[in-house]
Amino acid sequence: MRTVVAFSFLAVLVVVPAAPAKAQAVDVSELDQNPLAYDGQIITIEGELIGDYGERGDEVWVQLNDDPYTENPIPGGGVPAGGNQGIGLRIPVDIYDPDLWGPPGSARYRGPLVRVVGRFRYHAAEASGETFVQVTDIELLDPARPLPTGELGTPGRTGIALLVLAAIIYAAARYRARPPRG
Amino acid sequence: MLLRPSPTDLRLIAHDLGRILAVVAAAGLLPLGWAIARGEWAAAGWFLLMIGTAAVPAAAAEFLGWGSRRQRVDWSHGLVVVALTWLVVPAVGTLPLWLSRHWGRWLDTFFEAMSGITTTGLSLVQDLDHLPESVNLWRHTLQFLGGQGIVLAALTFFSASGALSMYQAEGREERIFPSVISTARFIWLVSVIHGVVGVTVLTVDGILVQGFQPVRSFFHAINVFMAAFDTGGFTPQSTSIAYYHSALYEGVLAVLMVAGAMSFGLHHALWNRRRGLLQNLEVRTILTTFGILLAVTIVGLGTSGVFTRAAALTRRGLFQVLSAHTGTGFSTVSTTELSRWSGLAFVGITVAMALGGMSSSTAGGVKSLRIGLTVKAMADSIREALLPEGAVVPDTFRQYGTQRLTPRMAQSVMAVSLLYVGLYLLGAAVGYAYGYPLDQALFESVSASAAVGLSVGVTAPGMPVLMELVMILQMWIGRLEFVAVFALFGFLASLAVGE
Repeated sequence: MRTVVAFSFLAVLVVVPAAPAKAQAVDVSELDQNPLAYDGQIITIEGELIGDYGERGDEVWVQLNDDPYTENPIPGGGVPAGGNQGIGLRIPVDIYDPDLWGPPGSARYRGPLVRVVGRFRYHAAEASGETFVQVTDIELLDPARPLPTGELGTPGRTGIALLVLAAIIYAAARYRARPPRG
Repeated sequence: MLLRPSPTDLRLIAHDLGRILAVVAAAGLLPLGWAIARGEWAAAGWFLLMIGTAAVPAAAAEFLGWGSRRQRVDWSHGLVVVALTWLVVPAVGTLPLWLSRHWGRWLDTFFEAMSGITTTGLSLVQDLDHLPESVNLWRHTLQFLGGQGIVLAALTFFSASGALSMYQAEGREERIFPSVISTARFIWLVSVIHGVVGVTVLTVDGILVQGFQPVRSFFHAINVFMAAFDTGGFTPQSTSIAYYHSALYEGVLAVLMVAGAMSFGLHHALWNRRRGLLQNLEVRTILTTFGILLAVTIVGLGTSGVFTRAAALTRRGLFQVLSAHTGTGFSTVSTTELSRWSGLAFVGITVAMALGGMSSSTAGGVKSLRIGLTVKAMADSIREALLPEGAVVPDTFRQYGTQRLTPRMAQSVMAVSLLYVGLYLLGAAVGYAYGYPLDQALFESVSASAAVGLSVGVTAPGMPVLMELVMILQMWIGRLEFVAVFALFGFLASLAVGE
């Protein structure tokens, strides 16, 4: 019995410190408002990968946006609802999978929606003062999907008509301004 | 007694505006080409509409022959054309912005276009990170047009009449060559060379260091080059320059910002390896104010406890002070964080914005030459009071040679400096009246009037309409340095009540 208790105690001593710290679920706005409170903490954050995948050696930098447009960007029919809110992610290359995720968000794509676990770093001294999340785990919630790029439409056709009109007027101006013969 | 402008006066002004619209139409080809190349067909339609809208009146003005060389062109025409240009161009330039639906109301698009053309950089765009690339490029092209001086572009291509008054009305005082047209062409030459080098370096950096795809890297490079060299401050992504997470990228942009805030006279002197430039009053003034304000800001940040290492603190502080003093408005910290910079850091950034860059540059603000001359005039007065009666105080200063500080020049310099202070206070009072904290209202007002673009969050979608209008006015007046706007008001008054 004493052996069992001793082993149990040892197991607790070994396992408890090794268990990962519980990640706090936060949003970008909260990080922006209270950065010092989260500096060095393990956090979970959800949002859309946006802009570019910056592949730098053994890690990838990308921005994660957590704002009203992550589900429905304006080119996809969303309505204006304020500015964007984003934070940089530093993703180890071994958990980076652009083929599965699809392109980052832009006017042509709603970027992949992901849930990220990582350590928040605020003006990290070892990274020349950068603020970012050092990602340890990333879960794909919804891959990127294309957004409509539209067509020339009425504005385009009207514009072409106006350009033709301008060209005619300009040609007439040149014709009228030509030097008289003889 | 005010003289009512004749129909000929109005025709001359309309003709010059037509030529400037032709430049807008030509500039629109850049985002149109980008939209077609990237398959942004709806955006291509918006640009076709804008180009057509600008081209028809431009062609009509040519057809009607309103700009016949036989007709008289005087100083006031040039001033009025410039003041109107800086209203008409943003109005036409709003078309693709409005059609993109990324702005809440039409006034926001006008604010954006005015902010672009005045190289301010304050923005009311919503969901910038999903904005079509071509529309984003147009925002930055507006900054390039405004920074170079859109009228300067018209002068370069059309050798327009009334050239000197239009050139000076855009906030440029010095002529590098005897001919304004030659000066305009030199300015374009400097800009193109900086553009080729800057875009190449940024693109290569983007590919090799940032790990961007080549097309995207070029897209970022051309946009941030236009915003940096023309001290504009728009960026392609919502997190400004913090998006790039790169000290090297910031370093390249710092060089471009400094080049943009330098007077083209200084560029010319440097190209010709002229010596003794450090003796110039303007150079000495800007180096002094930059050094003092950098020290003040870094001490302020150092005592705030946000940064734990000197290298990180210096990197952020240096970039922000440089961005503020050159009137660029790039940021490497979030708006929320900037609003938390208090005490000395706040003072350092705000004063740097208010002072601005060099005269005859793309920067705004009071400008270093005026600061230097004001300080000299005051120091001379104090010296005269302290010295024995009859003692002579030299009233000369160095600015590409020895020049005299005449009482008239001193009065003029101080008057413009005071007008800027008044403009800063006007916006601050309006912001304060709307319930914003005084420090934030002052910060934003200085940022708009001095064409900087840094924000602590006051400029945001849904801001009060009157405040938005006041900021538009501040950007317009501040960029044109008062004279052209006063001339336009005088012209309108003579149109209304003249005889």
